[in-house]
Amino acid sequence: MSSPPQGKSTVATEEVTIPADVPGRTRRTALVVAAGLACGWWVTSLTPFSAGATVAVLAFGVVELALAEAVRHRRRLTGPGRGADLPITAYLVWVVALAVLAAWELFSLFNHPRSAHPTISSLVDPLLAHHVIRWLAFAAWAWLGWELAR
Amino acid sequence: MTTRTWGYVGWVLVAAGFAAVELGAVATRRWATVADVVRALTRRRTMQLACLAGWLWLGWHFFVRSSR
Repeated sequence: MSSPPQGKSTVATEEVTIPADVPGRTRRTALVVAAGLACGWWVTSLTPFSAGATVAVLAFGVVELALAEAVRHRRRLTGPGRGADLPITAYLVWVVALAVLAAWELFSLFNHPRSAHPTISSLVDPLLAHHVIRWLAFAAWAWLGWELAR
Repeated sequence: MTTRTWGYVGWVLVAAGFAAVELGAVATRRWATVADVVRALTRRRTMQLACLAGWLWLGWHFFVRSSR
């Protein structure tokens, strides 16, 4: 393969199909994510155990699920599916891992004192006392919901 | 080791086990990754709805019921 003459710019020769509305879609996605993060900051600032916090978290979840459902519907009409199934044995190791997690959580839950038998909640609670960490955890929770719903 | 230490060591082992399973899956492709599990769960509508109900409960539990 010969190299291009010096001083001349080159262009890629491969043809790449880019949907015409990608910049607009990217901007919309960025706006939705930014709005979600701002909303998450507000939701995580509400007083725990309050009716306001309950309504805010559930409303956030419901709106996110509605958005994901719209995306899922559009993808079903135009896009590819979510890939082929793996054999059932490929998931067994995760079943075992989740069973171990559940067993340890239940063992800790039914044993006392809590300081000697911490549960996931008792480990996470002190971290969630910090607003920034609480907000980041909320963002992670929102992302998980999006992945499950879309 | 004290009972208190064991309580924390147990969680460290569980977390290390999850990390090892995921890294093993990515490195060898002999079993499913977390992403494969999510895809498999969300392919069936009933399983997806069950997971989403659990997800909403998690949000309520950690962001409403946790004390600050």
